[in-house]
Amino acid sequence: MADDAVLVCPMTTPEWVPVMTRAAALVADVGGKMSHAAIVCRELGTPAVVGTGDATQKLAGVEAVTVDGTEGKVYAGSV
Amino acid sequence: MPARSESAELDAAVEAIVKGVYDSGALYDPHRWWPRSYLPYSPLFAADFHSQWLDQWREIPRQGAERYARSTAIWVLLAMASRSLKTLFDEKERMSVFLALLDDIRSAKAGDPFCRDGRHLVLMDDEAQAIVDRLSFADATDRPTDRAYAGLNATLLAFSEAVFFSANCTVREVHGPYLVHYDGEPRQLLVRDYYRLRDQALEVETADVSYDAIRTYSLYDETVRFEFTVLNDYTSDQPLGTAAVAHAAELWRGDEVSAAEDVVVVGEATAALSATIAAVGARIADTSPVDETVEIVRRTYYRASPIAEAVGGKWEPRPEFILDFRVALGDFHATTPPSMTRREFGVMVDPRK
Repeated sequence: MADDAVLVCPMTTPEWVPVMTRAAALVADVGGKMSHAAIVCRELGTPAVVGTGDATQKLAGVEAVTVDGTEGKVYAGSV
Repeated sequence: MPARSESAELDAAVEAIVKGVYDSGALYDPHRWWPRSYLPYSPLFAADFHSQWLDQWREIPRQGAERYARSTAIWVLLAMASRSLKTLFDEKERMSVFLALLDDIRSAKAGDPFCRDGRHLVLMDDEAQAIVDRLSFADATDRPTDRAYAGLNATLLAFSEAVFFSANCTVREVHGPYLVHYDGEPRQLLVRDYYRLRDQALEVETADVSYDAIRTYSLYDETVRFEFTVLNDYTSDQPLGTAAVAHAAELWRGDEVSAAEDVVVVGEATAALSATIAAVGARIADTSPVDETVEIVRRTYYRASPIAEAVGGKWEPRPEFILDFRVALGDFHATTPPSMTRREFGVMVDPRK
């Protein structure tokens, strides 16, 4: 896993933490403000956007994404 | 009718619960708990749980809550129980229970029991300063060091979630910010206190974890805004990991405590916790939904185990109750938590209404 890799996943559970600690950012289909992904990323200081619904489908095959955790937005490509 | 000061106290308590449970989003996030939210199932066991818990709690001499539980654990019970109190007792009795619980919380905390200033304090600021003076902190501006401590904190959070499921709040107390000085500069200290890490009561796979407790300390710039609520969750406009100035940690094995001052020790602790998380996750993956739900109920009872221990008892669901629960589960179709407004939630948790 590259240092600048963005983790795009359906949702996270406690088992995902070792991977989450290495991710530069996280995007999850499922989750809310208090979900596992959100609270762990807050602890890590990792930008995250959760509850996207279909990020894993829309970002399938996309090589570069930009994650704005403050605004809750994900862009295809480098912005 | 409650006296005026008592009424103000109850107003503050209700507002604190609403802020911690409703405003935080904890109530309505169906993915709040792992492996599944217990909230949709709570109607099946809440009355049994709370009646047993209250029976034991009443036997405890009222000499201070710190004897048997941390303040967050009591708040969790109070927030959970507030609804059941209405079905179990008349107004006079539920008020006495509610107020007695508030007394317990007050005696377990050093700061405002309702966190109205955004601070969740179980230490005095001078006690926190003594900790800062005693420990050697690692520089958080060093990226690998910062990531190592952030990883440990995240892994401890995940560990408590994995091992205790929805009862994780009973094994962690994240408190602060304490106003301290470090290297002559004003700083804010957050303490992340994880305890009972090797508790065998739930027969969990903690054999590889040799730590009984781990406490991490992070110093932040005085400008970082923290907003703690009574339920120990906090928010900040800034990502916490990258905003820290310095980190330290202490690891307990029994009464022996050692400081974790370098990333190697921090990494070893993180790896041990991660191995346990993976083992628990693998077991849950092989568990049927019904067994998983029953286990969640059992662990929800575990929330109150410190109270049972204080009176020399044992806290667990009655075997016949688990059997009834399994039967009821067969006809029960879990739904997401019911929708309600902030005001409706406030009425639900207010013992006067």
